[in-house]
Amino acid sequence: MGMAAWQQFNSRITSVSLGLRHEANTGSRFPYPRHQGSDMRSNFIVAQALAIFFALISHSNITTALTEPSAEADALVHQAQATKLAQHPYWMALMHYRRTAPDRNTALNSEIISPDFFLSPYGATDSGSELEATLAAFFKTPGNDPDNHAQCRFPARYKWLRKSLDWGGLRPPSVACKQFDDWSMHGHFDSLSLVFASGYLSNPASFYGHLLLKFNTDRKVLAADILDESINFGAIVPSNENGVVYVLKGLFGGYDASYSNTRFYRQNHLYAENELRDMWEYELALSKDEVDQISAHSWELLHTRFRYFFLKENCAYQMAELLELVIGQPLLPRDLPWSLPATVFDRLATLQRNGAPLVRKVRLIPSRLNSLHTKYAALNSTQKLITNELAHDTSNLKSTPYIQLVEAEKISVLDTLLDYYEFRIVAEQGKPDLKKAKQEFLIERAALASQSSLTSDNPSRASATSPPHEGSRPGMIRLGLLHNSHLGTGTELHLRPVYYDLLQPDVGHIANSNLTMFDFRMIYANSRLSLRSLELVNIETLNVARTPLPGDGGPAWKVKFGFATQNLACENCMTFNITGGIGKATPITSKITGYAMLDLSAQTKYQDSGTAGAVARVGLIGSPVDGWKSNFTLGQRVYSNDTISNRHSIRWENRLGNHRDWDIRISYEEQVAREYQVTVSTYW
Amino acid sequence: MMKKMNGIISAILLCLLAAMPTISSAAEQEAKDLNPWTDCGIGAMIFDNTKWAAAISNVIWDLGTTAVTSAGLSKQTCSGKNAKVAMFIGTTYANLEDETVKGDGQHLHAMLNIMNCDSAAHENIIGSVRSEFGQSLRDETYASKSSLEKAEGYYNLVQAKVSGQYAHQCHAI
Repeated sequence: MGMAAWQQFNSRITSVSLGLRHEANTGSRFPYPRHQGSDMRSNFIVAQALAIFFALISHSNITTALTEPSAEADALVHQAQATKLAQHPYWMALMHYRRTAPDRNTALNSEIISPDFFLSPYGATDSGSELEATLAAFFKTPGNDPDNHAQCRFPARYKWLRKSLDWGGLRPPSVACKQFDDWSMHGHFDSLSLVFASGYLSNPASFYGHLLLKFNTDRKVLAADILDESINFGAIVPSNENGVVYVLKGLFGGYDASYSNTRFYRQNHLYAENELRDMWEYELALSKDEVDQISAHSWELLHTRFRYFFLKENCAYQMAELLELVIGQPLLPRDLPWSLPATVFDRLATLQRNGAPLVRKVRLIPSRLNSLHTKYAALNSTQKLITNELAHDTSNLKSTPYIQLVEAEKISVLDTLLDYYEFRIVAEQGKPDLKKAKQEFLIERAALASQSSLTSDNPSRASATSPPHEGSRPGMIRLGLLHNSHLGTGTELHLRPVYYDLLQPDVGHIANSNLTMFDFRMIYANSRLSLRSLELVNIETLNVARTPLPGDGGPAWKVKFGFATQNLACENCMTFNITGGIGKATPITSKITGYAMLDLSAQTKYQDSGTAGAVARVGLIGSPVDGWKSNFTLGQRVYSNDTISNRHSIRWENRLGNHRDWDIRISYEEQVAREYQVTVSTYW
Repeated sequence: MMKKMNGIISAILLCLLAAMPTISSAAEQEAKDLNPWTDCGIGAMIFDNTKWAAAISNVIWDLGTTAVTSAGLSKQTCSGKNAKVAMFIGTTYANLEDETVKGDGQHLHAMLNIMNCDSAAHENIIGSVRSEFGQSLRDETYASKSSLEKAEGYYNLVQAKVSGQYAHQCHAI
């Protein structure tokens, strides 16, 4: 407690007690002091005792307020004005200001929409007034809630302004920021990790993956990394939101968004266990001071609100902005109308610091499903057979093949089955028979030796999966030659901003799947330029099972809508088409997968074509040799209301090359006309 | 008269000061008596497969509240160690279930870290929990219990070990 504050407080208590005495003189029980020595001393003692008592039971931090705050703040404000500190890029970044246009003279506007983030009523648009209000706030006397003092609410601002201005002999109040200190492990955050939760095709908001930031604590302080603090950014969506409303609001800024914090085990539970998504942890080689800056600014941002735009101002955008505070280089291209999580990792993986990679380590945190596939793949053929038998019928625990296994083998089989059943319980919403089956395997496992399975849980041995920065780049330009039996020889230009197709290497995304948007194809043939197709959305996944265990894999499915020519023989014959497909894919060999699909479609009419139809197609897809992936499809289209029926289609497309930046495609397609193409693709 | 009044005021002050440990003890007692499963709304914070569970991965499901209060309890009591352990067990029960029958795993160690158990004692505690958990698995009703019921049962099992046989190694309250 500072001397001035104590004197002020003490004088009030003394006045109260002396006031009581005064009342006594006027007829109350406490006569006013007659300034006689002993009475004065006893009154003073009582007053002091009252003061001590109230100080002890008070919850407030009665800290120093040496002088009025404005004098100290004014001196610093003048310094800041002289150095134009309010225009400093770091201050602008802390405030999340952006200009309405690139011109430096245009208005500023903060991306933060919570009024209480700003200490000045003009802070959202005036960097100078916000800086002045911040400096003034640092010198205010803390009240009963020191965690609400500006020094505690805005530790990043405080840290930077202490460094950027000459504070000389100025002494702001010393404030104990308990909440921030507790959250930041009292300065024991050692490093940061940016975590990528892989894409999830069952939810549009998660197609492209998700980003989290993890604060890695000194392991001497916190031994378990799943207890590390982490932050998440996302839209705030009411429960039971209608799906259509969800999509529209997410696209067009109908939601607020915020950062939130939680211990990492909850993120692991949500993504790896509940949603069966692999996570990739990229530990960054930042200095302790840089880690402290990020953690301090993260604290400032917790519970502030932003406007959420699914395509652009999403988790990738926000996390990139946060890290750019210390990295000093853009992690996303600013001139594109979208922000992709994978692009952030792609950029991080290329950056260097003092001759060393900025990314110190990349670690897979496998999903429950990946863990199952890993354990199953590590079993020998006999163990796999027994595992299959047990998955079909738990009574096989009493069967001779299982009983005859040595204990270590039993452990391998049972550990695999525990992952298998937990995967199925999650995927099938906790069906009772699955829980009952798992119980039997838990009992069996508990009776065996306490040791890890022969198939280690070492994530480095996890089933084939690759980190996002090794995947194909999202944008594509493809140019090539074609020869069409009706249209002659020509060229095709194919553009696509996002993301990957069935033939691209299965690296960094779900295997044997397609996720493309705004896919545009134009041809020049027969001396004419014409639009071949504009696919707005095309999502397809073959959902191939990686084990023969029941429940692994699932139906193949497809959703597509956009514009396309009716067939290969016509030009300017565009229809708008919506297609939904369902089917099944199954491995034929370890390298080839066969599939059968039924696509149902509705389209606008062209000439004699119908408007409702179906295509039954069968195909083979795979990589017979490394560097070559091929997809062969046979299809038969029928229309419910078409005078020309039974149109067959053939498509055989090949990708040559495994490089993430380019490939060569050779294809043959037959749909009324026959067409050959050779193209070169570049990815960006 | 003056001295008598001073004496009365001093006596009042002394009584109040003497009562302060009692007031603090009441708060501590409240924490000890706390049942986080019923008093801190943990069930509401542990999600299972909700309608939009698949959709919420990019949305905020936790605005950072580390304590959920109910029945007028203070935020401090529900942010105590017991509530943290209960939240951890409730959320990661599937992992703890598997790791306990196996006899090792990161979630087990993390749970014991939250409970302030010395790392040198982890192996013995895990072994003891494993033994008793294995018995509880033979309950015919185990599979039909909800995740929350199983988690609460596990919590009670572990708490009994940590505050009983392993109290010295775990600095239990």
